[in-house]
Amino acid sequence: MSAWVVIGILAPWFAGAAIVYRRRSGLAGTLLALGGGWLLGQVFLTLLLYVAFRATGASHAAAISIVLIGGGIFAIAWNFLRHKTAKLPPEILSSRRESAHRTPSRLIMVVLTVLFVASIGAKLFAIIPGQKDVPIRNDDAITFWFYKAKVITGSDHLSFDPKDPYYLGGSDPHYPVFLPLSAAYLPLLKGGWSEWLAALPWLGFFLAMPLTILGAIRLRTGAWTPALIAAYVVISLPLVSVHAYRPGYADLPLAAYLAAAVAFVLVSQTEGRRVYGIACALLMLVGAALMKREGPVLAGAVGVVMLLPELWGLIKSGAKRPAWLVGGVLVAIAVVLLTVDVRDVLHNVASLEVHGEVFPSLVNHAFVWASFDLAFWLLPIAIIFIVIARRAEMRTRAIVLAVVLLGIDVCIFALTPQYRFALNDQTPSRLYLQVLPAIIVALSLPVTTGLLGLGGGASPKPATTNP
Amino acid sequence: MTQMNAEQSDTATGPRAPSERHVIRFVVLIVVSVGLILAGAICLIGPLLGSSSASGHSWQWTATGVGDVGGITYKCVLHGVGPNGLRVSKKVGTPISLTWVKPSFSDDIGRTVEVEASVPGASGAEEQAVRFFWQTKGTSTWESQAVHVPLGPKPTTVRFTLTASPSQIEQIAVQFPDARDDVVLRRVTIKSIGLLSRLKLALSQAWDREPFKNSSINFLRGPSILGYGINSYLVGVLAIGIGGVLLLIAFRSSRKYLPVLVGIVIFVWAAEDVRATWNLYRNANSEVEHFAKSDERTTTWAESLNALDIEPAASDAIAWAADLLKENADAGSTYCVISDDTFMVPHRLDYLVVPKLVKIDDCHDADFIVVLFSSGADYDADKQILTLPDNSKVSARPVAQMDFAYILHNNRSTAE
Repeated sequence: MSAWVVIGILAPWFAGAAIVYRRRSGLAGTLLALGGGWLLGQVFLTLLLYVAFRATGASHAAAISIVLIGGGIFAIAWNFLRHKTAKLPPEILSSRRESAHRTPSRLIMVVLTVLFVASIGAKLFAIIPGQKDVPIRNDDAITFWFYKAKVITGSDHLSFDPKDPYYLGGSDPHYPVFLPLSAAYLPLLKGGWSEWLAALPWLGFFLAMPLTILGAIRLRTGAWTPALIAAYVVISLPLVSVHAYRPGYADLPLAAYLAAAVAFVLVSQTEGRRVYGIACALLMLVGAALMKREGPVLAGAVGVVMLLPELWGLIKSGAKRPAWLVGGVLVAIAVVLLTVDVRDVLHNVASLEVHGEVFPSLVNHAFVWASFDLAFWLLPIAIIFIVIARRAEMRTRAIVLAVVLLGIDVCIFALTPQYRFALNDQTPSRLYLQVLPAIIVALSLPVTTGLLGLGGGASPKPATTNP
Repeated sequence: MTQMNAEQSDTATGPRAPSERHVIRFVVLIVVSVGLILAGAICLIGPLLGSSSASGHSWQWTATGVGDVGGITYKCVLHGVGPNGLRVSKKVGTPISLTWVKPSFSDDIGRTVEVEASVPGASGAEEQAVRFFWQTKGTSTWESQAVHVPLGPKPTTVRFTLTASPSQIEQIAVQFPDARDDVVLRRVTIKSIGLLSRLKLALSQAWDREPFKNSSINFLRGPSILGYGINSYLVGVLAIGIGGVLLLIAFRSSRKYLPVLVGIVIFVWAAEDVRATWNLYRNANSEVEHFAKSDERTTTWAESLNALDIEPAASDAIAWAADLLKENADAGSTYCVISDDTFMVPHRLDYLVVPKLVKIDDCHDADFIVVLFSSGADYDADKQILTLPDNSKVSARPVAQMDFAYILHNNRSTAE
């Protein structure tokens, strides 16, 4: 592995982590910076590569690495200067003190930590050798995602000419080019195609998702137990490991961005991190929208259900520069519309027709087959519990998010020409994979606070009023 | 007065009658918990008891003579019946499969299927899939179960569990999708086995490896344990655990059991996580070991395609064509692919040669024409004329040739 490749792995990660990191946020903040930083870094990296190709016709991958490192250094300096005297707000401190009283015994914490670490560690024993030694061979990987990455690497060129056979990396131009750009970046730095290096971002997404969830839920609830449980549940969804082991599909990255967006919305509910959380969540939604054709739809749903109420609450509470916040959302939407071809999705939406024959297949994927363990059996139980638990926080939004995201998946198969991919079992589980981590993160807060309420404890005090 | 005081005192300090709300709560908790425990027990014990018939009746097919092959339809080459059973081998393009049409089962024969087979030509036992299919009356779809077992020269018994009543079954079939050598099928039996044997079978099936296939990126089925998916057993354990805790809450009326409830969910989840992670590890181990033997250039790709259930000859041909195209073509050259498989073959070849070569659809305009396993294309080497499946003709000279595969150079392209 050349020095440039090492720099290439670290540069976007460093830039993202430098932006996400907040001083005095403890271990949870560090984990959030490590996980969220990877995700954010990939958003910046792919957008910069896209702009470089558009402006100059070549990637300038090494120069982009330097720009990212420079951006990271600037973010750290800004962070330290701006928050030199940052202290934890009293609300957080009191919330944490309450949580500390309610925290189960140290033994449970140790057991959960061991479970989480051992589960990830054991999976890495399979995933890393698999990524390194087993050739990429799944259909969509070699037909779309790795295909485009190979074209970009081989030519150090991204075509924006629709007449070019390698228009936007070749293959189907409706498939967004950002994930292939992420895959092509390390091979570009190496100077030639390497499936192993192209696959490395998937390892990053696999690790970044649980770390982001862990850090965010800990910051929001002030307790490690729900954070560990949620992160563990997400990382142990069997299909998550398979997508890391056999990289080349966009479902895991999309799932990571959607879950991270919800996680940062939770962070934004803590005092002192409201604008920061909303901004990070927005960037994660941009990342989700750039990943896959259905990305803009799912990111839009998460944005409307989870982010907009926070944004609205912030503006109503007298945020200093509301125009900046609204402008940020508009810029994010513009970036997505300018860079992602949504005509394919619109075409699908325009040809709605009921396909009831897909339901047995959907039930198999959700309840019978082993792609998600017991997730779909536990989801209704969690939702019923949230409905009856009076002290559950953010319950309406969490339930609406679960219903909307699962509803979108069901509608994709029951109403659009995509139904054929339910009948041949190709995509239902993969589409569930995209939304399930985000739903788990969203439900974690009302379930935790609901259980604490039933147990007679005080719930953590959120910084905002939740519906 | 004294008596009245005593009565007042009793009312004030004696045991209070439970309120109506508490009684309702108690009854609801009891009903729910007992219901959950019963439902859980059915999920767990049902498959163990449900299909074990005490009659001991069974159905058996044994190949001892040529007459035993009657009533069977087959997609394979039959080499005859010997003392060890029916010897069959693979036909190009289709896995070995044998189907018994209307085998007339009675309903009391039990639901455990045993298939005894061997691979006499193998140097040792090699893990491969054996798949058992059944089709019920009035349906056109087949149900199936796959088991992965080491098959070698010694006969191996593979067990499956029917989830349909045998009297409803119209056809059964056995398939050896991974077999490349001759397979000897000794017997197929459908019978009832004892409780202990079923328990042993359930445990071994729970731990069976689910090999990663091309479809594994889309979904994982998990093990089929006595004909039921892993989730039904996990739901069973969960229901019993939650029911038990609710029962305790009903009698002890304490909220301290809530963490126990969460603990049970996590325990069951973790148990399945251990199984799924072990499955992932075993698959990774097997695949890494397999590909570590291959060289970087051609074989790795050929082997990787083989693992996708593509015909080995086709995958070899794709890798062969990719290497030759990259060697013989200038950067930017165009090529087209003629194949009966219009998806896998051209897509995989394309991935191997991009971005040096550009695939186009019209073979008349292509610099190179790759013909891989096409029944519709015909090449006359003497006249250097390729007849395409649409009967149009292209003048092209051969670059390379192997079984069922040509690489041709378009003469028009050369003339230009």
